[in-house]
Amino acid sequence: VKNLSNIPGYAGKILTVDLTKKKVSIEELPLGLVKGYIGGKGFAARILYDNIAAGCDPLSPDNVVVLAVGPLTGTLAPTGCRSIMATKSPLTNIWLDSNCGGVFGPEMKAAGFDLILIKGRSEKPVNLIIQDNDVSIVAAESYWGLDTLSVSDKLKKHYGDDYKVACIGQAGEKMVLISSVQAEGRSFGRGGIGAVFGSKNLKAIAIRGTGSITISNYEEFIKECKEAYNEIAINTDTGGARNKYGTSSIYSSIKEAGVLPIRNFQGGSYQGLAEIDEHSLKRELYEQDRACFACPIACSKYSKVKRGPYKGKHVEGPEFENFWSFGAQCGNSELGSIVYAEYLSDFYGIDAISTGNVIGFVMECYEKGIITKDLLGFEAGFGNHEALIRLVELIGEKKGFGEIIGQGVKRLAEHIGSGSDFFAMHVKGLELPAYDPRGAVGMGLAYATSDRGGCHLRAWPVGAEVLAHSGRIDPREAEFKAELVKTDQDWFNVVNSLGLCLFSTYALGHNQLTDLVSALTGIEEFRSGAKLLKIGEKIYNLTRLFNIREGITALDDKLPPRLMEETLTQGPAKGVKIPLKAMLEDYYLVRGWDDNGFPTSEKLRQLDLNDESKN
Amino acid sequence: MMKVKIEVIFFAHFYEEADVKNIGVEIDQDSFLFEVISIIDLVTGFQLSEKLGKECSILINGRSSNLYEENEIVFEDGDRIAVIPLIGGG
Repeated sequence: VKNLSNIPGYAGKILTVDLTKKKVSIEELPLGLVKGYIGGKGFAARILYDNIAAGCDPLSPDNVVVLAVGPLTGTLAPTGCRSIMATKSPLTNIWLDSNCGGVFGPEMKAAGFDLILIKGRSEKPVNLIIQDNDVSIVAAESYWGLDTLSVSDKLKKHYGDDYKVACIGQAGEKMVLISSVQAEGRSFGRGGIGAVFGSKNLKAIAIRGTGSITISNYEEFIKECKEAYNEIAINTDTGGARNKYGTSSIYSSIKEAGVLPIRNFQGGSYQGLAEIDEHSLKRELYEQDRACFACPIACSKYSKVKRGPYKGKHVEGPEFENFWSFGAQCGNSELGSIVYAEYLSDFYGIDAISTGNVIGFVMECYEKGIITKDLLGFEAGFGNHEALIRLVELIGEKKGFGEIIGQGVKRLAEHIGSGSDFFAMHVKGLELPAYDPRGAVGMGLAYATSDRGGCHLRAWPVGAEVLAHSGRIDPREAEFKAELVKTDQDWFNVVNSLGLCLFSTYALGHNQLTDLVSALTGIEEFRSGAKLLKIGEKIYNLTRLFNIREGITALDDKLPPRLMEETLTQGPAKGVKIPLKAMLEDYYLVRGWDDNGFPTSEKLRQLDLNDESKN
Repeated sequence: MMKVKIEVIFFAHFYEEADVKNIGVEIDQDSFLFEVISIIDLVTGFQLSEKLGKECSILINGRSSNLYEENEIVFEDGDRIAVIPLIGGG
């Protein structure tokens, strides 16, 4: 058996690739890094903080990319499929980590690597080919210009079907700032990580692993895995609605609670809104379930359009987020176009959340006369699904006005002016996803304090605010929101460091994840939920320090003007004003941060970030 | 006693379990919530009283029922009770 690491649960090695010098090196994974940061996001936080100088141009050779997996990645632990890609974002100029399911992470771990660090810039296009310890940087001119699906097919044809591929499409090559890295039908979607690959002339990583890991307490680990699978099976979310309807199981509930953003967060209604829900998706589109590695939930769906102008179009998805971004965000009820828009996003390698968000913005600008038919070459009001598809293509190919749109909604609003920044729906430059915080104000705090900008995956208080049966958390008030958001942020960091999917947490609590990782690794530092939570808090503070070094202060912890100054006129969120100032004051207090949003020296010492406290 | 007609809606897989997507239910305007839930049980056969808090939650006009005191609800014609699964994010 190869790759038997000295640290149970870990592959045991770090791969460093210098694209400038065309050199690769392999070193042992330090135990200190493991104990201090768990894996995945924790590793990425430590490595990026130490390897990126303040003010570094994200598209220069000085930026680095980290790929990392967690101890539970690639194991039997349910949903142990996740990998992290992290860098300094060219879209936001701050911290970025993007988390991907599927099969890429487990393969990377089987190849023997918990962490891959990519530095420098190749002069010409290259692919990184990894088979266990055999790592090579290979010329990739013949791959340049290809879409992500063709790249993956071509690499598998050349190297073998067992290789797992993460690659960019045309958008990443052209450094479109909302471009993604696509990996086996899943995405490292957000923040423009594809453009960083493009800037480095790195087209693809193809990886194949045949190694294994050791397990500290085999019997105990298998027992914990079985219990976790049982919990997932009997849970009403993970064992019920999520499998049947995919991530869109939530759609009607979110809409009913007034949390679904409509027509670029203007609210109101549009033709077809009432008829579209999780049932119509299931009936009209879903053909098969798809599951990531070691996942019993199978929330992913394979969809095929059965009728209408997009008949025959297909995609793995659409996810709830994209059902919204190409649907309600664009006032669009043509289901087939949503499928095709998501397919094209995967094809070109662009972030389907940011893409739909910015197209909704373009449609509002069009209706307000700020963006004209003369400029675009076609009409583009809300609900125009043909315009939606053309805009996705223009962004993906970086053609025409798509060159500006693909820079994201913040830069687009700056470019066109006319007061459009009022309704440019982003935080710190990252386009907002599918929750309107006027329906659940805690989500406003989550957006404002997310380490990568407008994101729903750092904290998700919406569940407690509008969907829970227990408790009395008012979605319109500031009370309890700081604690809710902080706890989510810290715990989600733990989950993203362990290598599990966040969806597992709807069935598995702190104790179950602790039992799983303890049985796997035997590491004392992971033996209680409280200890893990403290590591999660440390990671959150470290990414905050990264952002502070890039110039972020409390003044940047804000929401778009529309959310602060414009209230919704109907539904349960009617008239709600987001109490952001009160929530932020509470939040800085519970975080141990000062009024500037900086962690205090005392807090950093508590978290063993002693060196950073001196900076 | 004034009667009002409210709408009960079943989301996600509860649509299949109740075998109905939405249904009008007539209740006394000053009914307590637990009385309304019993009527929903009777009319639809969906054991809402059993499942509430274990498998599902309800939204009354889009707001979590936890935010209402029992005696503060005065139902109006056209009010909506949505039966939603206890689910996480998408």
